[in-house]
Amino acid sequence: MVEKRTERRGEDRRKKVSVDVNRRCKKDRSNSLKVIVVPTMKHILKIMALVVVVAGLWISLLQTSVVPHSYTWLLPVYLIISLGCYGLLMVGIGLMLFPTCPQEAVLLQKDIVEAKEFLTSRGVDAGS
Amino acid sequence: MELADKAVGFLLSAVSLSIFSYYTFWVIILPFVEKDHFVHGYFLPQEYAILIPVFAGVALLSFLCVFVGYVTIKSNKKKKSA
Repeated sequence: MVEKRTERRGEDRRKKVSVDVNRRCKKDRSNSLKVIVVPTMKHILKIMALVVVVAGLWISLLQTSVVPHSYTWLLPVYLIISLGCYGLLMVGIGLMLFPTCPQEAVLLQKDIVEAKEFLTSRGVDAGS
Repeated sequence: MELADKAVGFLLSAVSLSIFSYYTFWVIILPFVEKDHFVHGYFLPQEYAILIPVFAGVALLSFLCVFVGYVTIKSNKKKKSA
């Protein structure tokens, strides 16, 4: 008897949730798209403006012969490569220093076993 | 498991540091070394210092574009069939 009641309640809850999700999906689709698209457009414009400004600065430096002409392509490429290397280095260092919590892992396994026992004793099918 | 992660991290940082030091030496220090020094034998001519990164960058960009196109076409096919 108890199980039947809980099953029915679960079904009603599921139906309610699915109807709400549909309503939310149908209503907010256009707005959500606008919210997503507009920030990315502005972000790309910002990045492009930055690139144009840096390129202009570099060309002006070249024209006024502050920088020798042999460095025309070398220095920007060098800076880009050093930026990539820096990123890779940060990733590698983060990987090396990543903290694993062995005690928490053991506790978590214990919790999982306990929960499985509890559920199977109550008649719920807890998977593998 | 942690050892594998640490090894991969160490490898990545070693590769990045080696690439950075080689490229720095190539581009910045080598022009100030006399032409007859033996070190010049270990480095390619200076034009390659620009060609190789540009080539690698173009290859990476084209690979990314191909990947994005492939995934887009796959998702479109799924939408049509579903």
